[in-house]
Amino acid sequence: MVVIKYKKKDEGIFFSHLNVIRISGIDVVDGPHARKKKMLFSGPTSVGVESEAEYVLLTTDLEEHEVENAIENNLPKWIELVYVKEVDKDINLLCDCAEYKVEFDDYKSCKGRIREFFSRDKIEIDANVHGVKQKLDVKDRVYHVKLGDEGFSIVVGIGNNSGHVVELVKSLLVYIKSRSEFEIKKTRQFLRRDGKWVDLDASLTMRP
Amino acid sequence: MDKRLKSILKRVQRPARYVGGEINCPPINTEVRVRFCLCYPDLYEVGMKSASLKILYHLINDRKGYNCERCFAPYTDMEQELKNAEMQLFSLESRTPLAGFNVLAFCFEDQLCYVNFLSMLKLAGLPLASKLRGEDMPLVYGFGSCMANVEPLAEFLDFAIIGDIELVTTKVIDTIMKSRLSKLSKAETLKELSKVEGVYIPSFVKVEFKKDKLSKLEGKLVKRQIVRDLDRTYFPTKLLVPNESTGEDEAFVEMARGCGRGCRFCQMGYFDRPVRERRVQNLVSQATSQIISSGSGGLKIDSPEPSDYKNLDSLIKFIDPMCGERNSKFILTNNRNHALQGHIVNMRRPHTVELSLEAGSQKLRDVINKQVSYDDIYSIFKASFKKGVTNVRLSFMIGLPSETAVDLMAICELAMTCKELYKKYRQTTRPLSIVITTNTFIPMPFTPLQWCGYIGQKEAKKRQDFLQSAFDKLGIKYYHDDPQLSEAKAILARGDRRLCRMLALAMDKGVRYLGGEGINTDEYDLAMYALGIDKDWYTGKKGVKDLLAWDLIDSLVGKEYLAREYAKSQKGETTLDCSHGCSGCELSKMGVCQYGGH
Repeated sequence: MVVIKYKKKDEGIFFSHLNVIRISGIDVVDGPHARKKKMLFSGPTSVGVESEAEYVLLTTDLEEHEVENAIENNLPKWIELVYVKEVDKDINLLCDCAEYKVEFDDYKSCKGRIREFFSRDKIEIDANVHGVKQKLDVKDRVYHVKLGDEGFSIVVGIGNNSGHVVELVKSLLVYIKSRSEFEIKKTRQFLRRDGKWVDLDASLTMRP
Repeated sequence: MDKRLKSILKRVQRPARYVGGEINCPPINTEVRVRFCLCYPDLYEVGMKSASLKILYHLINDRKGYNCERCFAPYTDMEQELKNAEMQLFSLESRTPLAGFNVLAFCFEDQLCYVNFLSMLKLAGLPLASKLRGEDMPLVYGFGSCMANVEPLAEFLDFAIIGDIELVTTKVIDTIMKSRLSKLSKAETLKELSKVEGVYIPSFVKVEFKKDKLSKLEGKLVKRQIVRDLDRTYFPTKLLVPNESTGEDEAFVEMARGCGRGCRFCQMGYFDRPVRERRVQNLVSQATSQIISSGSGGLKIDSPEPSDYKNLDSLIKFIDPMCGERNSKFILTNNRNHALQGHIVNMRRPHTVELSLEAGSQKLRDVINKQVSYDDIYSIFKASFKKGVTNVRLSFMIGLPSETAVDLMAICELAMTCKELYKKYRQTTRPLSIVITTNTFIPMPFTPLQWCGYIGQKEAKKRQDFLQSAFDKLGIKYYHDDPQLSEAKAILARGDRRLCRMLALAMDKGVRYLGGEGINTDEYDLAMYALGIDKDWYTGKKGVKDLLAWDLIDSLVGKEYLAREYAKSQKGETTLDCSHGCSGCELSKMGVCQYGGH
């Protein structure tokens, strides 16, 4: 069993995780139909969002280097393979949350309003849940917000506990009355272990 | 990437359609004398399946001094975004606006996509009419199966290629290069192009109409060009790996071209004659390089009729282990014929048997020369059920000449017999799933049934409703085509240049056909009504002596031969498959057909 980590940048942000897998040929390294049976994605990033931390768990008998060889020549230039790492069978790759960096043009003049937005009792967004548009309060899914010089970083839930980061940022921009284009980049993913958040990369190196 | 474009792409569905940069994309040099853009008037995922596009793209890029990029029709959301941002439609590779190219080559494989072609020209900021496009604007030409009848696009295209693209394209691009080097005007370039065999120039054709009928068609007879030896023609060693799944992302090799079965409704069966095959050795080496270069998990072996390939067993013997070594599986396209089912049940879906029977009754199958008997059909069912097949997919046509309610009932009876045979020969406890699909018969140019009529939208709907209620009672899934779209296709397939105005109006009213989905198609009827076009005339029966809009194209099969076949179809007589004896089409006299004279 291996974990594959890759980055999506530039035009690569427009590729869905399934397309990346299909193009790379990862789904065939262990025979046909492997995708359906033996693949697990950890919080795949939405189309249009840059990511430095995309993970795929692949059940295979192949060695790390064999998987690496099989896919490294098949990735478009905007998708970068970070590593292929062998992992234990009982690894939990389903992360709880991810960190994103958000930037937009008039960020610097809006810091106060951004703080105000995140400190409200309710943070309502227009989300699309299983094809149904609905208002969703994601206050309890926003774990951490840190305002920086050029933008802010935010840690929100992913997977079943998704904070719908794109909709969240859109909602923020409406609140602060900004019409800027925004850039979101996923930087890390975290697992919850013994009540603490552990960076997924660190968790993979912690295995016995 | 341009910030404006990036922001647009974040708002549209499936943005990977518009970014290019696929694996195996050749480096693009924009500093060349002739810049080509290969355009496909449908969505990216449809266009990337096209064999013609795959071959032509690499063929041009592999030639020194030329450059070829691609452009596909944008989906409606992208079209709107481009309009809002006042951006022009651009190529995928260098994102150059289409107006910046020297040549735009459009691949036409479906008549319903003509409106998309016009919307692409409009989005590119180019005038629709060829005569309005100036010297600084690109030459626009068409190729593909729809070019059997160029006339519905006569006012928009500068020229069209008739026949196998590899052969004509190389001559065409060389002529264009020479013309550019000699600084010839557009009119002079077209004159030079008219000397190239297989090039049809609509503006050089004189057309007259009298009382709705085409009364005069004057111009040079254009002979369809054919590649005689497939093994000696260009075939790319690397193919692009699409950014969006096309549903057929496998590596691809072409096993054969042309079909000798002679089904009388099928354009490919006559317009792609004669049958030409690649050698096994070539196919295996092409397949190996394709799989290695694309990293694909599958190999698609393309052919109009795989069971007719002479060395099929030997090909499978070589291909199977080669694919096995690379964790790939191979798929024979169009593997829907009874002849194959004996030893290869559908490779894509091993528990499914697919048969294109086209007609439910023997009488109608004889009319269309589909040489399958009830015994053949039943023996396939028996053999398949014994092998554990639990899904049956049958496809038929409705609206065939001389079809009656009895013929429609025969489709239902066939499905019932299939159920009974399953009860008798089943190997599992799983229930049998039968899916029946019908398409409405559309008379196509260069087929023996080109003189027949189309049944009309209302009648098609009536027959579909009849079958729907019968299959509902039998618990069988039934799918059919959209009668409105099939009518539009029937009009365009045998249309003439009077339809150009209708197409332009329909495009303006928002009619599109993208990814198999018709958008605002009601406007076709309204456009025809507004322009006073009699659609019944276009869909109606034609006389064998009538002048047809495609009469200036020589398909090499011969109009007399088609008329003979038409007469035989009216009598319910069949003609043997070419491999069982030459039936004497014009090709046999040219010495290019392997079955000729036998």
